Amino acid sequence: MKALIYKDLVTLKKTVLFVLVILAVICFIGIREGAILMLPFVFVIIPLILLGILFGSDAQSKVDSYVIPGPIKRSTIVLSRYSFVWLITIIGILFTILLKIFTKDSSLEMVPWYLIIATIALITTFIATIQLPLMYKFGAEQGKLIFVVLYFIIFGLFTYLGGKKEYIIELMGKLEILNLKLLCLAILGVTLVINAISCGISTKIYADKEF
Amino acid sequence: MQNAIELKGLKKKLSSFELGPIDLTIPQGAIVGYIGENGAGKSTTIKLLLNLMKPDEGEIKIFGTPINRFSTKEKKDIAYVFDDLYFPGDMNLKNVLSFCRKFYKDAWQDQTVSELNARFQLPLDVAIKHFSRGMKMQLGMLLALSHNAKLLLLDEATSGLDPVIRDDVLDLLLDYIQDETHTVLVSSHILSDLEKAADYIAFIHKGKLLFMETKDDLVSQYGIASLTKEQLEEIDPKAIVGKRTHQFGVEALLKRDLVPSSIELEKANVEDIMVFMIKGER
Repeated sequence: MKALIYKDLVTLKKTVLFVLVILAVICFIGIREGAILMLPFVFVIIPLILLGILFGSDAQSKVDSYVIPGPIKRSTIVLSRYSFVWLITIIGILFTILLKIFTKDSSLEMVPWYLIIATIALITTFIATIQLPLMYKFGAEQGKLIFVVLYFIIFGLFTYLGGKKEYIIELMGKLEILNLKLLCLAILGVTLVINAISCGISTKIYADKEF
Repeated sequence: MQNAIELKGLKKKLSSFELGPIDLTIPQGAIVGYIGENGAGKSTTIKLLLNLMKPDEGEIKIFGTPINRFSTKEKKDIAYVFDDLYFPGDMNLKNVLSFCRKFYKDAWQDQTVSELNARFQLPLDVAIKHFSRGMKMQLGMLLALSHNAKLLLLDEATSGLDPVIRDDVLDLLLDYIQDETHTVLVSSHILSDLEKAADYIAFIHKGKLLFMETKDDLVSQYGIASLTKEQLEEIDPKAIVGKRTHQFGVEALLKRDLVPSSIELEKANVEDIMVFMIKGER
């Protein structure tokens, strides 16, 4: 699996630099406009973009034909893609916690770190859990079409949430009466279950694929 | 000695083509040339051997183990070179070698890599999308020979290469086969290469295996005769494998043991045998 993650990182070398630049610009604008709470949601799109590029690159190079006969199981090949998404998730969590520590935005200060972990894990991996089985089933080109549709859905969601900042703060207030830690544990549990189901479906699709 | 490859009753149906049933046994320590026209089923057979495709029926064993029961450790014993290099084009040689080091782990032999690259002189920092076809094949061979595999499969790996590089590849194969535990299956259109290196020739035509014979037996079984039409009519039809009619008569591939000694036969090479066998149907 290390070999596959290494290959993916080498493939994305130039793209990652580009994404970091975009992230820096969005952060700057977000901090200046006081929309700090929207910044972690950028990590919803990052796996979407990077997975699209990876699948496209793999389809073009036919690297599966080299990897599959090698000393690796097909399930491990699929798992490496999900591990990649979780790598981005961990970066997203760290980023958000750092934002919380170093900025003094009221909306983010109200959010406990365990809720950050649970929420970022869910939102970052959720789209990938839908995208990955579809890409394994339909391939890179049709997968990119799905990406475009999902992008517009997320963009719409961001735009909607952008106008509902007060609602989110109010929601945080309501959630305080619940046992938030248990709620976060439940969110994390649901995230892990969704990922496991998605990984199982992707593994089954990939196991039956012929090259 | 154990067989390297055993195919029993192998069948695979594709949209426009049906492979099999194929029964093929490749002994350990042999170089086998796997020949056939375009679309005959050579690449499909190799993909089935590498588990890139699943057979509809039949059994595939490598070193006595069914391939669907191969452990990841046992898969290190199989090396393969395709007609192109299947790595992302932006990777350079350094990246590819780092990938393979992680991929093959303890089976990877840096010493062999160094020795082979000293021979090939491939650049370390150039993206492989800028490599020529010959350089890509050299890299493919380098990767295949660097993890101590016992079985080497080549699928049209020498197509489009110049004679110098093809000769280099043949030398590598002949070096590789010095170890009696090593086996090579080469699928190729370049039959002159196979005549130099192969111990056995397996001929597949329209998805069916027509024969697998030692190269020497094959060549000794058949001969080519230039005959008039009248002379051809006098020959036992069972002796005629295939014929080509031209302005001055007929050129026929004949089975030596069914032809009278009065008929003068020229030596047939593997390419002649293949062409006559295929064109003999038309």
